[in-house]
Amino acid sequence: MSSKINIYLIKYAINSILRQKYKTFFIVTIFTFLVFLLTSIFFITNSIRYELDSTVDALPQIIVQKIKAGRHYDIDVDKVDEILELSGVSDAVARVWGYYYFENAGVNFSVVGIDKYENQYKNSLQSIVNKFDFEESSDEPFMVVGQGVKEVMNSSYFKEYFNFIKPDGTLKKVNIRGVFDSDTQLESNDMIVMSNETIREIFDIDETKATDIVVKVANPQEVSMVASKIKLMLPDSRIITTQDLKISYQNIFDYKSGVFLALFIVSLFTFFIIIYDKSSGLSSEEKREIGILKAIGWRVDDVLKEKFYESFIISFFSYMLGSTLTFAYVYIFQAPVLREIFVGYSQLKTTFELPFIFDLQTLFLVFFISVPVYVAATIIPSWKVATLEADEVIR
Amino acid sequence: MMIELKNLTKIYELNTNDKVIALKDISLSINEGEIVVLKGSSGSGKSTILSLIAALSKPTSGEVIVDAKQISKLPDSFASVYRRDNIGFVFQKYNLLTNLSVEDNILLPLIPLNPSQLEVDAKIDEVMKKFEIIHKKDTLVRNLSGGEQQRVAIARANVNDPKIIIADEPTANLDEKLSLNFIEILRELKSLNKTIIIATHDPLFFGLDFIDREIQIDNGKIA
Amino acid sequence: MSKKIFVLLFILVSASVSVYAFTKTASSEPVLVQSGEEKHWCPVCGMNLKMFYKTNHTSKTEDAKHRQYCSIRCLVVDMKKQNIPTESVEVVDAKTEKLIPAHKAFYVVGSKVKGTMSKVSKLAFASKEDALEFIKKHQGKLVDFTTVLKLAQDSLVFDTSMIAKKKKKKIYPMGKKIFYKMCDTHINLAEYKEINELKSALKNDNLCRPLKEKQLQATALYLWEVKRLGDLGDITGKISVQKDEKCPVCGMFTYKYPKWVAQIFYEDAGEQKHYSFDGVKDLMKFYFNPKEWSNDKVTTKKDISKILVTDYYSQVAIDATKAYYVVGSDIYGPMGDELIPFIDEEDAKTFYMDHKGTKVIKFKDITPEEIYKLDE
Repeated sequence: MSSKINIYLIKYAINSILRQKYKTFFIVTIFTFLVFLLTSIFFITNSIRYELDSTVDALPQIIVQKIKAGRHYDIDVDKVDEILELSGVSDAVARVWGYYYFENAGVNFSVVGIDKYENQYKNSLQSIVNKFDFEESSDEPFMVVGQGVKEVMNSSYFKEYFNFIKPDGTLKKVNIRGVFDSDTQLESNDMIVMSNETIREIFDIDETKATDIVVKVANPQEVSMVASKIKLMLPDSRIITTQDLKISYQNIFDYKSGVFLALFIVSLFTFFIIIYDKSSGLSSEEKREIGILKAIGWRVDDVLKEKFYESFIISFFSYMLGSTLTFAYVYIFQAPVLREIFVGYSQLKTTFELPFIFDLQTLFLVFFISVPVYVAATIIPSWKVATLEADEVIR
Repeated sequence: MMIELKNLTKIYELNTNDKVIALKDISLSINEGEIVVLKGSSGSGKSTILSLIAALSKPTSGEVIVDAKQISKLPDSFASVYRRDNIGFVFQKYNLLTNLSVEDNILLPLIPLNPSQLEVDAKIDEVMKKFEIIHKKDTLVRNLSGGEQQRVAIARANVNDPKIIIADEPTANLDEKLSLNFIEILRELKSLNKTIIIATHDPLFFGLDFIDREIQIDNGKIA
Repeated sequence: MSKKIFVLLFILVSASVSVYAFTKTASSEPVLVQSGEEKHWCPVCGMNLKMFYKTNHTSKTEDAKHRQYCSIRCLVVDMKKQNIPTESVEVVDAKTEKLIPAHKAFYVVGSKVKGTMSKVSKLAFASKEDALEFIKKHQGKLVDFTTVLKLAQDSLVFDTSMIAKKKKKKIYPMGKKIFYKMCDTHINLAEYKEINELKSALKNDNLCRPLKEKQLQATALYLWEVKRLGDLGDITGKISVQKDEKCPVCGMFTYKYPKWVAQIFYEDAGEQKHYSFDGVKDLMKFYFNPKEWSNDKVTTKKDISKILVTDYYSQVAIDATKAYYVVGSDIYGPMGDELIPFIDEEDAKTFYMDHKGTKVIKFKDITPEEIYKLDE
């Protein structure tokens, strides 16, 4: 008998919620807003973390830079041969890349050179090579640009080509062959891809030199061993492994998420204040109701059950409403306002999309710090009143 | 159902220095089917006796025995079940939930039993008809007149078909016509062989033919 | 004082500039002694002679054919194949860029200048003064031709393996890509006697669309050293396992450990089937006593048709019976101590050094005792 769900009790609870229109409205609003805020924060951070992680994961396992006088310096292309001799290294590529500052728009482009016949060190580059025929048979140099770059160039009336200013002040005209988009936009939105020859000309880099060397190690377990061997072989080099990069990205990210954390704490604090306020006492009206119910034969657990249903329905409804709003806000509307906290990069980088991740963990977490807390905050004071002598309460 | 009060004393402690002695060593027994009127001025202790019988509060000393059971020592949840199954209480201020409809108010004592829909509908309809409030069944209680509210309270007290009906100053808020109405209702309940205890200082109740006993309470004692 | 430092600095700077300044490329038109269009390239390795002109050597075979090599390394290789009189060898004077008889030349060995197809560079000079001047600038040691020849012969194995690694990891894959994208794939490789002939044909007979020298070299090397021999050196790829495959010895799911996976193949009613293992250790336990772990299809070693293990460094599938195994290293597999497989003996030795292995053994030398000792 008692195991059967008591429909009347639930009905009574719903009725009770509907009866207290203003209180219900107030609680649903606050609750929904808090759930919304919390899940939004988590969703956005998770999405950006995912974006960063996949950006980092797509990076080569080891990057070798030459350091001279404490600064990054061009490295000899020959070093590739020496690195290739190491056991465990499956490939090494001399990269030519750099940042080109486009004064008109005040933005930096990342310019990346590739050799189409080499194994590309990044999947995104491989797909660009596959998609756009990097045939150098045509005499005119060309490039493939990211969406963001294309927009910036367009707004400066460079629709078909772009004039790079070389170090000696002369212009280098490079045609725009196409626009690529990739999975992770944070990284590639400001990217320009062109052949090694062209980029060497634009940045005036000698053929025997490269910006850095990326090394691929087939067995990830060997990365640190290979890295230390390269360090021994090239003492004037700085070796960056994916692990290091992840840590430094993480640092930037953590700093930014500090702001989010503050927001998170404030909203949680607000929530608990409201809860505290609620649990510190019931109105005389609520007390009287409990007294009456007891006087006509309700047991304490009947009262508490009803209060449980009441608070659970209202908090769960608010929770669902809040999370639904969050999904819409973050993934459909791409989190206007809130994401600005994170993406304080250059103008170009603000246009990336938050990738959809169904983050069950966050949903559970927010559920458990909101719904049970609210339910408890409702039940505990009710329990206090319900255990008093009924006579005392209704007198 | 036999009700026995043995040497009941009830002291309300307002705070450590201020005590009110509501009842002093009262003994009384009420037989099954008996209808008893407790008389006395307000503050004489009549309401306290009703509370103790309904197990709404516990005596400072002494015993309440109903049907050979020690009511005064029941733990809280058993006291609730005892009330639910045996007591129909018509409070002085009715103690209705004024934001609920008539029907919903009458339903309240049934909810913890988790009964079937049919059973519930039948019972509620029956008491609403009996106490002539069915025409207002969807009206919110706060929109009812005093007499109608009283009828809702009586209907609610009867919906569980209790053996004992307790009424505390039932006519305090009624005019004479409605008061007489209530007395007719009492007569009807008496015919159903229920034990009825009424606390009142309304002279209308004194000397009625169907009342078995009138007991005068003064200053917490039977006079 | 500061003046001295300045002077010192100046010397240092100018010295380092001159290291960069020295290139092996011919400063003017080089002397090419071979005939035909293939004369631009070394017949042994296919490299461009002009680009490495300052290490060029020439020879005259017994049948009076002139040959020109990128370096003494290729001369040594060629001398092994055919009879070449040592007296006929000539070398480019790194200073005057003229051909001089090698046995009269003064060689500078081990300077800061990079060697051609060798770790150690070997440059020749007609005059002793020039050689000494060069040593002053770029360091190195003065030796004669006989010594140099001996040196080149002795380091040939090492130099070849060094180049082989680079070719395998980088040049062949690149050459293959270029070949299939840019060239006529119906080329008949048997038509060419030497790599420089092939290169000349690729370039001049419109077999390929115009290529840069580096790309041409990669394509020629791929064709000559890989495709001509039937693409044997091609990497076979990783061992693939299904998600439901459990190791018959330890019962673990093998797909979780792709770095360690190994397989034993057998025939069942004409169909090829296999067992997958999460490491060589478990595979060997099975191998020594199939009856204990398998169904009745594999009861003895004879029922096994093929064994694959995963090369630790390259992570590709290799033939277990040809592999070298390192025992006792500080790298652990999913089942603890492991035998770490390598297809290349040198890789195995490197790993043995790097990861404190206790020994390197071949497949046939593995014993059951050895395997079970790993579990202790």
